[in-house]
Amino acid sequence: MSLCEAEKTFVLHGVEENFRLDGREREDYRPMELETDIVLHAFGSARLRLANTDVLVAVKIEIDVPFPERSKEGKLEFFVDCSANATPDFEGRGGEDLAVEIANTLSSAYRSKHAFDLTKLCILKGKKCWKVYVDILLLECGGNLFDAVSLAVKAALWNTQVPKVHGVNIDGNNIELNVSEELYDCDRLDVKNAPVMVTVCKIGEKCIVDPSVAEEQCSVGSIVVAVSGDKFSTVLQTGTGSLHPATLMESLKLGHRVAQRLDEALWATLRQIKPGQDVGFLK
Amino acid sequence: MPLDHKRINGPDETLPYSLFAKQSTPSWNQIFKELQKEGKRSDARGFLDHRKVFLKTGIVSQAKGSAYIELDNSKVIVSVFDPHEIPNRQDYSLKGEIYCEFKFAPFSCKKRRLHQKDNEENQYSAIMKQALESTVCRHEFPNFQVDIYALVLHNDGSCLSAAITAAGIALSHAGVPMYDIITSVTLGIQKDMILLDPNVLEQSLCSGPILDDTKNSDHGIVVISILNNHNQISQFYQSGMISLEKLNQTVELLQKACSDLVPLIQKCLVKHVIKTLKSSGEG
Amino acid sequence: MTELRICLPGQRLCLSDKVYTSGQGTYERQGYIYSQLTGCLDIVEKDNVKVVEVHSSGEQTVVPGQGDIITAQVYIITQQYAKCNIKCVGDTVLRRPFRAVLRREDVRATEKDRVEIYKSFRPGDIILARVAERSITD
Repeated sequence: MSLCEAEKTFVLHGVEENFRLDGREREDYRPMELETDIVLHAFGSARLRLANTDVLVAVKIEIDVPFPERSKEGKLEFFVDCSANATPDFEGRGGEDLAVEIANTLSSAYRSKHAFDLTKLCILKGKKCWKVYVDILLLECGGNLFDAVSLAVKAALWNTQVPKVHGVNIDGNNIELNVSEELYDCDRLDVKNAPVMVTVCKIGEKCIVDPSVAEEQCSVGSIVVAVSGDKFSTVLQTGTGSLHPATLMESLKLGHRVAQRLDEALWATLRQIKPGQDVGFLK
Repeated sequence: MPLDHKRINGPDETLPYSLFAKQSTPSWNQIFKELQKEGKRSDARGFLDHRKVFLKTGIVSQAKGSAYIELDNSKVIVSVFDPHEIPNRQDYSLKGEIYCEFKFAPFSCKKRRLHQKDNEENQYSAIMKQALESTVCRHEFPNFQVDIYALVLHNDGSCLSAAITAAGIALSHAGVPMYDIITSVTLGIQKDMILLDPNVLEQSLCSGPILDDTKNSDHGIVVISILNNHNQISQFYQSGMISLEKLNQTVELLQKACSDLVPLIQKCLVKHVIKTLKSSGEG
Repeated sequence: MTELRICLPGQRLCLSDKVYTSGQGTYERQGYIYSQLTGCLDIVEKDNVKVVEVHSSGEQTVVPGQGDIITAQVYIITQQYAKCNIKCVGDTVLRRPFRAVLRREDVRATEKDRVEIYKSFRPGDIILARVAERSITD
């Protein structure tokens, strides 16, 4: 969908007056819905709906051998699939660039030990570790993909249940793991510091968060900020324009503020989720 | 990563010998303390000194434009080719496209790189594209694509910045219309120490947190590209964990470092023009 | 004039006003004229206005645009059109050929409906043509 000049000017004026197309202010988010534990085969899953954007994340874990240079760490990998359900542009290899960008940004955001501790995924140093596959499926694109994906990933990782390993039998080079037989005897992952991403778009002279599809087309430049706890875990400039240094600083401040609010809201929602709830779109 | 069937790969289970020499290599903590004690870096630079830069244009005769950059030991070649039609594109667009490819040569790093592009190279290619998209006058070649290829011959840190700076020179050498000269600088942060233009050891040092008692210390890498005459940031990338105040401080430092590089680039381009005029004058 | 004035991309050249306007190789921004290329500055007098131009020192990057006269070689002909490869734009020979299409209606100015492509062109012919306006369809 491409906008004509008049529509772009209309959006611009709205942003300047702090009253966007749908009546939001510059720092407001659209309504979100979150469900967890919906995919039966996955160890953890979440679905986030941010107005028209729909993201489904499933987490699967497998046992793997750690990297020789990092023998005490487990592995975490992100895969993003832009399904053709979202837009016909994603048919075949159309959505690959976007998918690679989102996956790379997530890897960059989760790389630091303070954001996500991979040593907790180690079972036996140098021999066995957990490998966490995070598969992200974009069901619908309604603008602001990075935010929706990061929130859904954080919720899915929070929901993930890692089976407990009770013992290890080592027989020469043969290693046998005694994994707990009980279904609910699991560990949870520590996602307290997992990063939350915020997209800050510059339209005209002002910066907004949570752009819709129309607003994304009007933006001159945008940055994606991943905030973990109090610090920036990754900052990436996206979009086709360049920014003035003052705009960059302002966007970073705005992103920081909004990300912390978003994180609080997410935790409030996650705490309300009780196990065994019978509500959800795949239930 | 898909298997490379076109080349004969070495045996699968090989390990670098340096893993077995761990006893003699110092830990990150020790290296950091050394740097703090000395007050200078291993090559007698101050913490905020950029390495000496060597630039040369026109080294790839078959390409329309090319440049070679050396930052002490880091060596990068960039070549730019004529605009050509975009393959597989049916519709018409008013703006041209840029295609960037960033590649480490297999022998460039300590650990052998594969011929196929891995995630890091894909991410660097996307960052390079982001940086160069705002520099080039895309409306001058509508519906065409300019190819830019960067090859790292020796990785001694800050290769991405070197590639972006050299790409700006190569584009200028090729006669592609540009809005401004682009310069790029990398910066590493570890706790309170800020290292401008890190070499490969310092870059690895700043990529992860140092495991000691101080909690929540900053660490990370920041890469920035600036169009100096217009004072616009065309690309900004940060990874690691950095607080807002530290990030603001680094942006100012980086701006100054980028503007320091400009006279070098100007000198290189002017030398090239004089050489061409002289040779065309004599011939 | 024999004085050499070298300019670099992004270099501010002069004010953009009634006396000076931006020409080839330059762009205008916020009331000033800046250079787009690395090369020599030229000021050409045209209709009492000084046009500021920058000429690249090496080969100019030239791209076939609207209204340009091009030299092309036909390689495929059908009933409705002839497909050609553009070899030169104006006086500049291109390193890579670009594709072009010559429609039946554009072959000549008169009797457009009675054109038969195979009577006018054969594969391998060299033609001189002008690039028409591109119709943008969304």
